[in-house]
Amino acid sequence: MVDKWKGDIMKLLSSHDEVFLLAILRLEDNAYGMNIRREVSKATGKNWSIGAIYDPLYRMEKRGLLESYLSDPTSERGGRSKRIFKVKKKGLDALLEHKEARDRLWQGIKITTLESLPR
Amino acid sequence: MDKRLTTIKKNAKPPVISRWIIKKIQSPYSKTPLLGDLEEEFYAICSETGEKSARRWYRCQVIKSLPFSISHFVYWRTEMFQNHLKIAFRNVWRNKAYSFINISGLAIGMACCILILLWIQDELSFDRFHRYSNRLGRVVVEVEHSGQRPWAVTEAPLSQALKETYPEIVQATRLQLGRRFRVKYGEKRFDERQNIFAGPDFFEMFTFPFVKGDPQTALNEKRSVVITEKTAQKYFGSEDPLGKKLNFNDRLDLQVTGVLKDIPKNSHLQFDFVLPFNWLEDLGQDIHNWGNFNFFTYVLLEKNASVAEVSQKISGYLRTVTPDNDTRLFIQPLGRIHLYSDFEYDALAVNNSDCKYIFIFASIALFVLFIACINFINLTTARSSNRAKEVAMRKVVGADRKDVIRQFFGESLAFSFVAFGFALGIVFLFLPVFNKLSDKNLFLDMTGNIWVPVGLIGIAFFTGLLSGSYPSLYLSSFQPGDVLKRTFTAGPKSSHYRKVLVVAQFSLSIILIIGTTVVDNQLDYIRNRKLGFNKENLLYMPLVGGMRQQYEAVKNEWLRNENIMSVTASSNLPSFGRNWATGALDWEGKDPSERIIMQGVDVDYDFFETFGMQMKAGRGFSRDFPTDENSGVILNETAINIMGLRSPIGKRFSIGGWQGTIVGVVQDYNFKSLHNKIEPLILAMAGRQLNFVFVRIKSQNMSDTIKFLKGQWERYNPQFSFEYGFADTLLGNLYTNEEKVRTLFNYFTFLAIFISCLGLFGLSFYLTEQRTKEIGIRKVLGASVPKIVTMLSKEFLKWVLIANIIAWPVAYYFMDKWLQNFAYKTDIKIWTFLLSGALAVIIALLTVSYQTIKAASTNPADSLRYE
Repeated sequence: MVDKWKGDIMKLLSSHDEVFLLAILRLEDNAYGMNIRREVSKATGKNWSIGAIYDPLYRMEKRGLLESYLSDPTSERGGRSKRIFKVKKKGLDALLEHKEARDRLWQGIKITTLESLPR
Repeated sequence: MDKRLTTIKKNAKPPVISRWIIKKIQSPYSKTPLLGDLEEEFYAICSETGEKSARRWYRCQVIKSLPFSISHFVYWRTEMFQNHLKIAFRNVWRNKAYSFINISGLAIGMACCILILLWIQDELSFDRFHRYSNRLGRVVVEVEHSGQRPWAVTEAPLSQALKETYPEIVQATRLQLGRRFRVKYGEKRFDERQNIFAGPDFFEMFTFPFVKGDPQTALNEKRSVVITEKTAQKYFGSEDPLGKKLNFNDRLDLQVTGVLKDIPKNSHLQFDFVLPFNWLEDLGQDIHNWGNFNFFTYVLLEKNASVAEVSQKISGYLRTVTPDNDTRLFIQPLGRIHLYSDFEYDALAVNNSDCKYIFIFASIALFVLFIACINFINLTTARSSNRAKEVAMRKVVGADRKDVIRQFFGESLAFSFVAFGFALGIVFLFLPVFNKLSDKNLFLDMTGNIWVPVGLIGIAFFTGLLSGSYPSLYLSSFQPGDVLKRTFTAGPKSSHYRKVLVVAQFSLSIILIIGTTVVDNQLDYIRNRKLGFNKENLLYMPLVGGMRQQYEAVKNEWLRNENIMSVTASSNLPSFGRNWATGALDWEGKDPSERIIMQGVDVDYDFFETFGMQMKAGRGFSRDFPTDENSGVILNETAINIMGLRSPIGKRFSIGGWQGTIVGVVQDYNFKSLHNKIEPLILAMAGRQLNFVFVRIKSQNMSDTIKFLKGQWERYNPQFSFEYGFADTLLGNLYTNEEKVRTLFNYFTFLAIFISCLGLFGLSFYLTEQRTKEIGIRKVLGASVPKIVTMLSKEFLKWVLIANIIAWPVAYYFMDKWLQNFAYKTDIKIWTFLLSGALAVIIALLTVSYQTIKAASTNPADSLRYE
């Protein structure tokens, strides 16, 4: 399944994916379900449900942008372990490529054009 | 913080139901982190804004997560399912022989089960198609202290009287079984005997569906008749039968006022014509007065009345009509007539069955299915080493035991549903044959009754679960460590279990073999038992028409024929119909307090000679003693014993007001079916109610004799068509029910044994395969082929011998119970057991011999290179 995504990561990195990847990078070692949810909710201003965040995360994991592992169980989680996510090299590349492309596009835009946009 | 958290944890709990939903629905991959997240945040919210809002939040989260969870759930399940299916198919393909044995065994087992269940369903469905079937019942009378079974017949005025006396009885009707009629329409003439006489209220109670005519008024007219569709077709073809006139016995014309749909086979009343009850009066029957037990009485109870209570109420009714009698009435619910009738004079009983057979066949169905399931279990566990690595790998990559259990249950269910498909094919294919054997009209009615498809799928499901139960538990218990380290050897544990199952399987088969043998023996015994008279070459004819009027002349004429040895007549056919019965008896030396009811038969001169009966004392009726005709009485031995008379000859014997003298004692003979003990019997000539003529003929020139009798019949009885029968076939008909059961029993036993052998064959295949190398080495070291065959067979022999030991007492218990049905029965002989056991051993050895001989005669060079 992973093969299918080779070479066209760029095209398919949605803005949701970007937000999630960035959130995971910001959270460093603490990137697990609850924290990711809070971070993403804060950034997008939208209240994500716990179940909903795993869907894009697993999808990216399958595409090889992320990896995850189960931490040791802790007591405040009722003896359950966390699934901790890490951005992989491929994910970072995709993010950077994405950012570069955007930056490149932004450079060509004049402020006057922005001001003259129809309301 | 930590301390606070623990106190919160003690008090607050996440909502149970929501948590349960997530637990159930989540895939194992994301279950743990998701639940952990939820729990962690729940307690966080608890400490921030309190438990209430935390709970609300939790529920909210669960609901929001549902779409995601469900899609994941489905995704994972289908993914795993695809994998399981693929593996299952590969296994089926790789082991075609085993798969064939498994599937065919299950298919045959299920097909048997389905056929038997259809049969049982049909047996239970008797008489349930009437709208009021729950409220209908038949009135039966028990004569207390008579030692007789209750009578199915009652007196004619009873129905009206009951209806008037008891408000709980809404409607009541009486009917009588018809006699033989010669029915004519135009050129078409047929003899008809399937008919009943019934009053106009008959169709108010029994809702036989009408094709034409009005059930309300159909029988109102005295000259009306209701016929079935089949009969209408026979007489009128495509013409409209309504209003047409049918001629009966060249005397009476009856107008067709209604046409019924053909009577379903699951009705205890079977008839082609319903004749008006009042007509019986013209035929010389008393239908107004008490005293003549000749009618069947049916009642329709009020909606909420209980049969038991109404039975209780009417119980003593006959005593109010004629005091000083010991009768007790009770109501037999309509639905019970077919399976629970054990009555005297029940002419309707010819179609009846017995609830015991339901039980017997249900057990056979279960046995057969169980045997097929055992095959599956044995072959699957025996070959478990082949799957052990797969299970271990699954566990290593994260499957827990539940997943493996699910996988193997799924596999067995798949097997059973595939087999179920074949089973349905078998059922469709064999239903016509089965219908013929069982004399039924069964079909797989998928649309009519919701329980049929539900039951069928239930069988498939049950089979799948039963046959998957042990394999899935056993296979899922493998420890990956052991298996992968190769310290694991395929199931010493499961081989014990397997032995038990094979033993169980063979025990069941042996029980069935013994069962069939005992049933066979008993029926042979019945057929060959000395009845006290000679039933061979004894021909009978109904004494009707001109032959009845000129009986004496006819008799003399016949006796002149050299092939006819003797001729007599009687009121009854032996073992059939109704003897008269009376309790108004008196004799010399009778203890006045004693009450005995005896049955009686009217006979003619030469009765004992023609039947070949032996006189125990005194003499038979003879023309040399003119008083015999009016006052001679002959009793059977049983009667004399009950009366306690030492020297009965010449003693006075009176019945009601009639005075007679005992002239002889006849040796006991079976005047009823062998289900009954011989009861006291009176034979007299005075009644002279002679309905049948009996002719003892020579065994040579039989067809000439019959031709002669036919000519005679046509001379005296031109209005009737020739009718005769032989006593031995007639007596054989008494046991048709048992014969039917015997055929079915034989077939199912055969199938059960066949399925057992199929399993044993598979098992022997596997076990010899396991020992290929051992056999090779033994041969190299000098073992001979017979020695190796013996060695391999010994194991199986042991199992079958143990099975015998288990089966014998069980079979004895059940067959002894079955034999209790008969007053005259064979002993269960020890050789039956020995023979059945030996048969099982031989069958088992033959089954495994193919494999053992093949294994023993392979070239050791090949077998040692094996693998």
